[in-house]
Amino acid sequence: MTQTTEKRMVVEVRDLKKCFPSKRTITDAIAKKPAQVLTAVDGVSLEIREGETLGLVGESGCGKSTLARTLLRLYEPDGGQIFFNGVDVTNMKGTELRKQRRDFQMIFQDPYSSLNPRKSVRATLEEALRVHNIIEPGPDQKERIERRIYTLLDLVGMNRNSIDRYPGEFSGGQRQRIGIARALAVNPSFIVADEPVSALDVSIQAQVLNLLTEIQAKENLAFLFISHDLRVVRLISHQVAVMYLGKVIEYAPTEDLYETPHHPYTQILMKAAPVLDATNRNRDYAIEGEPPSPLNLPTGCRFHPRCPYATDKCREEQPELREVAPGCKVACHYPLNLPEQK
Amino acid sequence: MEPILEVKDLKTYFITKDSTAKAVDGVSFSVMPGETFGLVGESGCGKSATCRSILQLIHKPGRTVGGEVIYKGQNILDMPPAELRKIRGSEIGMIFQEPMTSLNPVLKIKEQIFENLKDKNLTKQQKHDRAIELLKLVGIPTPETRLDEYIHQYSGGMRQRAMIAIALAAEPKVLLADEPTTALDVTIQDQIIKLLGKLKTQLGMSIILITHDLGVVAQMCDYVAVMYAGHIVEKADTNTLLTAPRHPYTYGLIRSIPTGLEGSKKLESIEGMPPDLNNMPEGCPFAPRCKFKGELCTKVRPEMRKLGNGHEVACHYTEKLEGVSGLQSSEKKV
Repeated sequence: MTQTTEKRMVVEVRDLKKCFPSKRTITDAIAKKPAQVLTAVDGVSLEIREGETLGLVGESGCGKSTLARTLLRLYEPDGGQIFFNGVDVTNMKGTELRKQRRDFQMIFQDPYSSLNPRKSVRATLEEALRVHNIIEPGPDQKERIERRIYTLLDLVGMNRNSIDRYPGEFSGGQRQRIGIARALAVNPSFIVADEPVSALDVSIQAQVLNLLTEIQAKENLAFLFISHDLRVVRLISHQVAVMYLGKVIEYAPTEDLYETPHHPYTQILMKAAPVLDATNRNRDYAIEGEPPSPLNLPTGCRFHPRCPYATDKCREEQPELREVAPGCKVACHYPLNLPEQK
Repeated sequence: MEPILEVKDLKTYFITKDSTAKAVDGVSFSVMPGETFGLVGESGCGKSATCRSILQLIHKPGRTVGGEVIYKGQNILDMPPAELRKIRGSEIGMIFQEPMTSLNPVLKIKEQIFENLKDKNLTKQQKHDRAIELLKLVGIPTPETRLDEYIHQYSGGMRQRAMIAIALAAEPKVLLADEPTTALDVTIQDQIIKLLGKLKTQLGMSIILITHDLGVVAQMCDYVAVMYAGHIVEKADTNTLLTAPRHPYTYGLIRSIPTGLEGSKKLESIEGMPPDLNNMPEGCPFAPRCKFKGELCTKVRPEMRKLGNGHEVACHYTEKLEGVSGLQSSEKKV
């Protein structure tokens, strides 16, 4: 833990906001109904250092993917600031932004739809290299590009003779490797992996997870790893942020979070994951019901309608994210497992 | 006790001009009344094809070319279509992964329940009451208003519950559940798993659960079969399978799941990938990826061997896995 402070900060996000106004129909306009606004990401702050992975977990619709896309500037942020390697990219535009983009890449969930089926592996990787001028122009540029592509294929564990094959000829795991190679082609310092293994079978998933860990160690990359699978996140992350309805409700070093979750929601998420032990079956639901619509947020703490410990204070006052143990932040009026309680 | 459903040497092939993919190649298992039977494997291993073959829901070019499915002493595969229709959906019900694509978007939920009710001679009021009862059973709040809604008005978890309610309307003896929780969040998955468990005991059904998730198996199944490339490679009761697997593939699958306790942060993965069903290797289908393979494996296809206590395995060198444990005993948490 003491080491982390010496590592270079790669990504810093402060109070990031992203809203989506819902479409107003003509009848709404006539009735003078105000447009509804869905706040997908509501004041999120994160820090990721080089060689570190931040795991981001939460149920579908909690804003994980929106957060990732906003911080990569694929969506325009509605508030807050984003720094990459100390540079403020929040309002950057045009060529300047494109230059920065070299530094942050994305790996997508679906290896079937994220690769162009009409482009060979060579064309896919070459495009990334050319767009960002990774290989200096010159007489032997072609050979240097080819050499770089071979290096990338070696790095992600693909056979060199697959260079002229098309995505359709590969299995899901291999396609995901191509997607990873594409992200690595431009020598980024930060990669967002949005559910990179959830479309893969367990045995293939393990291969890809090992690959990501290896590459991170080799290239000293910073990762934002989005997943709904708590086991995978525990394996790969150094820090974990738990999101609920657009807000980070708990943010802590991985082992602290898994060993002593402070937010009731985190505890419930862990209880809901099916235990791999047939002799240990729990008959009670981890939690009843489903998350409310983000268009119609509850007052106070967003989790209070589903929280087993909610009080009047929770219904009225929204809790701030605050540090309750070294490095562990939680947004709850009554955090669980506090040191003095044990 | 007699099994309620017995599958014997089932073979479903997908036959095209150029090739034959043996999606299900000699699968046998039996399901006891009131039992939850799990069929586990990775995509393309033939678990869904097996499940669909039971009810003859295989589309062309797929065809069941051999074997028997015995239900109440009759072979379903020999039945004339009219007879089969009496069983399909009523005696043997089915729920799918995607409620949005498997339910009718232009019929109200109540109409889909009415359609499937076991007793066809009910009055309108009785049908209505029964439908409300069913929605209550699967935990849908305010069923009176929910009955008149369409599937798109339901949330993800509610849709899966509605599909279960519709399947249960026919009071099936066996429920085929094909990845019923795969598209859901963990919290909702947890609710559906427990709901199915509760309903099974309450209604005395048997469930055949198709899944790729060993966590779901651990929580739901009494007995499990592991499929690989169209074959069942191991069968055992759930606890034995998870703690003392005797097939290298089962062992690899269990070890591929991150437990959060890997000190080195590296998983024991299975190298390579499943074989092409059009072009199966000679001998054991798992041999090219197997860490324990020996001389025989690339030549002779292993037959199922009985190890006692209902544990069966198709491996020539299963002794090599003796004493090897699947899950670490400390794996009790996440």
